[in-house]
Amino acid sequence: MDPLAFEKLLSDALSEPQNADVRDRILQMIASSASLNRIRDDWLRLDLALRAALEAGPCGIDWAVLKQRIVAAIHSL
Amino acid sequence: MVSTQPVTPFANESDADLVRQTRDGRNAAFDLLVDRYNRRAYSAAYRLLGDAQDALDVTQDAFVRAYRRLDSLKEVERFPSWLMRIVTNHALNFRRSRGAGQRRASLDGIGADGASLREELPSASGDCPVVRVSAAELEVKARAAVAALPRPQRLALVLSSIEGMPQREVAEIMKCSVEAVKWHVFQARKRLRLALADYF
Repeated sequence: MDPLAFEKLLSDALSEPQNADVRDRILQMIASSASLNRIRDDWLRLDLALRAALEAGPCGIDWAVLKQRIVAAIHSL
Repeated sequence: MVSTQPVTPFANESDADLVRQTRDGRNAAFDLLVDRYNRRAYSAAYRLLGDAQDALDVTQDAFVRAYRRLDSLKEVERFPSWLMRIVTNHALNFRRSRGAGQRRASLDGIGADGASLREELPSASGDCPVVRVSAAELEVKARAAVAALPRPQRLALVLSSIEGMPQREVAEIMKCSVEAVKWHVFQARKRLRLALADYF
């Protein structure tokens, strides 16, 4: 398979992990190709790195205070 | 205009009912919409802006805008995606008006963001300090690379792949097809892979 098309399929699978059809297609492809397997590993590492970088963020927020702040802003209109 | 009365009487109402009741003057109903969606709104704003204080400001402004424009919402059952469109548009315009990379130093006490990388990369091994340093560097580089993505790619990636929003909802927010969302995410990932090639 064209590596570019395989990468597009990987991207779709990472965005829709619940899509079993796409996942199964990928598993079939990497079973018979070491190069596609390497590409898969690269994309998984990138995905994990992005999640680690971007998901580390909105912790420590007091949601009740945020809600009060928003409601107060609307109340002051 | 928003009542300070308890919102419990509305707790079991659908979003659409809360929108209708707010329009009918029962303004406490909007409090519950704030309660339901302030986390999602703040989270998306934070990931698009990368700054806790800016995200708070954008979240607050977005809800105020939504409240003011509630009469313009034609399909009331689509309140969540309509709100998120306001949040994301405001976040991206806010970022553009302030200038990429500019950050405030202070927080207002509501909370602070966790700066440390919480997960080891798959290539990382054990407690090696060198690995931890490169992971922290990668976090900074990854944030910068995401911030440098073209607007549609950044929006599609953050909402779809990080926030986990259904692609159909992301397509509604971006006013494009689901296939276009997938394409933007793919292009974003390819760019990020090139930008972060030194770390893999």
